[in-house]
Amino acid sequence: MDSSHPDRPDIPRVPGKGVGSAPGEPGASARRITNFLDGLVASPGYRGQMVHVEEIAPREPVYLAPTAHLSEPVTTALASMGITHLYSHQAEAVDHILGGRNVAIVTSTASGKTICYNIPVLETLLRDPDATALFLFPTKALAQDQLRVLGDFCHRESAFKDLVRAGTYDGDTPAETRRKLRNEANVILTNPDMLHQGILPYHSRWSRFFARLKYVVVDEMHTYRGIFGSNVANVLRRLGRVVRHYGSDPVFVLCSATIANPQELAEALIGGKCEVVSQDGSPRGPKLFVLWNPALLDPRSMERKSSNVEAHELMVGLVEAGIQTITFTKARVVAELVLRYVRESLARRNPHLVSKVSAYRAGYLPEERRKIERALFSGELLGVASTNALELGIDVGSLDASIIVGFPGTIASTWQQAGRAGRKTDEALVVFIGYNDPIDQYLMRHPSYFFGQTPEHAVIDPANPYILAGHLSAAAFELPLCGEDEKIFGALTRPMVGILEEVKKVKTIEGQTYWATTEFPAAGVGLRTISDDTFTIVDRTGPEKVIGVVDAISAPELVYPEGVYIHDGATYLVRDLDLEGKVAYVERQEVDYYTQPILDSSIRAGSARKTSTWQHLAIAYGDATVSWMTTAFKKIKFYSLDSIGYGRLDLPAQHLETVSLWICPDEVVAAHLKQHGKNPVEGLVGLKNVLINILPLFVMCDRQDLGGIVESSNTGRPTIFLYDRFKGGLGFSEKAYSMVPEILKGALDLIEECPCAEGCPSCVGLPILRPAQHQDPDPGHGYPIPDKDASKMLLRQILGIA
Amino acid sequence: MESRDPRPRPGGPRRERPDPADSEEIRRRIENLRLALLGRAGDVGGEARDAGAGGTAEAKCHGGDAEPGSTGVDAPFIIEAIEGAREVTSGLGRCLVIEKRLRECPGLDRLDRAHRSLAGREDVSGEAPAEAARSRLAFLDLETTGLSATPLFLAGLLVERGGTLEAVQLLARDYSEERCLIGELDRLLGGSEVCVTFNGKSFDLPYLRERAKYHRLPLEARPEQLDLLHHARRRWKASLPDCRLLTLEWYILGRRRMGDVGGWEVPCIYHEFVHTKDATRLRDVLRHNLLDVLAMAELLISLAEA
Repeated sequence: MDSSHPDRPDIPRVPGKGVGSAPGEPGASARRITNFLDGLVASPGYRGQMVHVEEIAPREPVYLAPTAHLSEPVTTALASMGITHLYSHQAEAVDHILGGRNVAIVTSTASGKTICYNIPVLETLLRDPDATALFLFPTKALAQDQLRVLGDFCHRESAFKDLVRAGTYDGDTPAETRRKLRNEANVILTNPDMLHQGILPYHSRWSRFFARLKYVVVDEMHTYRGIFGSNVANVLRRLGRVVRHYGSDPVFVLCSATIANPQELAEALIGGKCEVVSQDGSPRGPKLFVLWNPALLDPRSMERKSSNVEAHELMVGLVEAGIQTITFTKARVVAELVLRYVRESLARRNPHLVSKVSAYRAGYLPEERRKIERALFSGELLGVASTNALELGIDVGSLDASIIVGFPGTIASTWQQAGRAGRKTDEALVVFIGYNDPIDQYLMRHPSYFFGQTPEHAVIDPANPYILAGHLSAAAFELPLCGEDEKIFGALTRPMVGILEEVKKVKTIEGQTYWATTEFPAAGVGLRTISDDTFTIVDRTGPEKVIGVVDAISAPELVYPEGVYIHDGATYLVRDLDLEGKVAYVERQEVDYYTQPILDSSIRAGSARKTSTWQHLAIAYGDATVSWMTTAFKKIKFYSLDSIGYGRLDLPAQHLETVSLWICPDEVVAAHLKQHGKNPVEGLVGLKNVLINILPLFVMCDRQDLGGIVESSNTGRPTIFLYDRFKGGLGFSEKAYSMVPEILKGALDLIEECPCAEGCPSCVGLPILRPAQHQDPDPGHGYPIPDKDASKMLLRQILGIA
Repeated sequence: MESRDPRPRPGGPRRERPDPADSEEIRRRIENLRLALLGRAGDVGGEARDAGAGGTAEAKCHGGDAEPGSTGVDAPFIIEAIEGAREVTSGLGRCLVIEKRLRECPGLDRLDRAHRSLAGREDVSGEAPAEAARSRLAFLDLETTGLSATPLFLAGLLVERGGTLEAVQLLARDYSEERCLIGELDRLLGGSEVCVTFNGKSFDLPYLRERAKYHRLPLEARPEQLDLLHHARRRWKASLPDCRLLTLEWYILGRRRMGDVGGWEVPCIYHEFVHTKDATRLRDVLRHNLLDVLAMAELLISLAEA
């Protein structure tokens, strides 16, 4: 897209939400997107980058009146929000909830899920002002946002004025407020971590609240997967038994984005039956989903134009056309790059728009993020370049366009990000821009794969003994364990209690098992795998000022000495990284390049706890230490991506002490492959990718909970390592060790059934999770998709199939 | 062909979830957990530590002095053998009551006068108050296994019986006896008009209320409350280093305890007692509790008469 642009209709943009709110001739604004795309195609710079346009048909609203009669205050409040009829999924949900049935609501973003539970809660409070409700959100920010939404609803009707006493209860709540909330609130908004450590162990202070608890709302259910989900499932079971102790039996309401198995996940989380409402009755304007492949710079070298630069050009065009846009990027640095490019272009062309764009990511201070969210919602901001931090449901309203730069890693994330664009009747646009790496290029070539793929399964395993042990201890602390608890926590309860008795942490008296030490068990159980440790980023240019934060694990990859740190589009040089003090000192400096860390990662196998041989394989399970460190960094010029130098670094490595399975094929197998012109290492890499894909279904974890490497420094021969991405391990690779033959058969099935010709992201090709996390994917070219035939041959040799 | 669904069937490699009730599965998981609890991975190639050292709480409690389960003397001390101990049974279960008439303690009249003067009540007629008009006092001090959300196990009281003060200690011999203890305590407090505590307003009474809520027991007793700490602060804060009970005991009552247990040791001693049933150290806790409650009675006099 060059500087000569077709004329654009000069519609003054007055942002607003709701049906048909954009002013100007209705015809023109409804076709804004189409006009924009037409303009793109007609522009001189266009060279066929749009490889596919999927038209997602508009959806008419489906209205339904709930069977339950809604009271006057509720209908009046709804009417004042412009809602005179409920969508079908809302009515269904309301009926289930008021009818006392647990329900999971699985519809798209902005389909009005919040109303599904706010209505029944308010209806119940009107009839029974002493009733209470608990709302759970995965983050504090979401809880605060939803408190605002609830407050807004209640504001509209005087009947709710003194009736609803709601508040957020989390680590930031001051002590005096906590007391007040415990004693008086009827709606409490919190997060699973606070429930786990700050509420359940002290449940007698909540006796009033729990005795009258009618509803438990679990929002963003799809985030509760893998290790986190397994932990939260146990927290919810503990909640259930505490609440029953006080005589209540609340209804559970779970809200989720689309996953392949919502009912299974919901029932596994709450340990009970659950209805599912998934037919979305909300209207949707037509959506155009464009796959955009940057043009080849040189057909011989297969070099393409920078995707980040393309993203910024598209974003500039959209913003100038008054189309509110969000650009999703895979790394924080890319969000900053895109913002910077966009601002520079706008400064030249339309300076008054420069302040209308912003970036958004982890590491911005909370006040900054709140400001940006509000400005998006009000329409003040026309464009935001974000990481997946904005994927989660914080209400920023609906935007017109979503640009997705690079495949985010899962289909579920892709649709979440795409879902941010879409209004009720106007056109919406999603542009997926591929990087020049094998995965993205595969998607460019196979749109039907992209649009046909179901979202992933969410898997949890609450009965995982390593996870369960901590929660059983916490449960014993809360209320003595008894025979009934076996039904709640599973068959491992009794043997585990036996172990806890052995180590004298509990004592059983007349069938009741009491906690018997001065320890506080909940403190030893963390629900999440990421660390809470944060570094602050301090700007030393003038008087010292904290401008951002970064988590301890990412710090050596983002704020290494002499690196360029970008914040809100501005460049800073990192002067000093104080690892002990957990501070990074930066100074403001205008530079024309950015930096990228060069990571070195390795695995060192410790002593094997179990070994065996099978067919042509040496298999082992044991301790392993995975290490990675930033050894150096590249300096890369903006726009051109020219590499202009390197810097050496001397930073300590980070380690993960965990457990691993390793599989090492013998010479016979390798020779067989070589004989047929196949590379055995490539076959192993492909196999490793398949195993990471399918292991979750065998060992009940999430794909994120595993890591894999193929290397030979440990055993002297090319070997696959599959490890638990959790300190000390959680039994995943261990379980896999006992099932190797089955798993390999499953792998062969998957590869053979996959209709792709040479390999695809569904079988042998998958991005490696580390070290790509903070990398700008542009200058690198990803990892090649291994040759599928090599993996197939490898497996057939091992399994002894002709 | 592009229109054909390119996805491999998700059902393909999936297998049935292993039945956790399968004993082979259980055995394996237990073994893993045992290894995990006894010798966590994190030491590369770590070996399982000795199971006997498992209970960290015990290690903390014993501080290396006594071995778990052994007391250094010949026989374990059985709590029921304490003089004045008898078991109480009610609809709420069982607990132990230890009663003791005190040979030396302030007379009831004196206590009553002191209480009136502190509570700001005046005898209008100027005559000696009639028996029936006298408020019945109860002094209370609780011992708990923590600062909150954990069981209380001992309630020490001084109550009026037969013209004098009697020490009554209610003990939960294990965690299951707390319910009965609370019920008995409520009964005793219900028989008194005033409950005197030291820092009870902030600690003992809210603690009792919380544990009652935990057990879903209503508390019937609603005695007047007198918290000596507040009066002590008002009177002595400026002249003493602090207003802890031990400090006041020394400076105001002129007494120092020998060989008393420290407050921080109490929870561990109790847990150990529950595990071993040897009350040798618990006896010290009972004594400590009794001394606290006696000190409170004498303090009341000092506050009024000094």
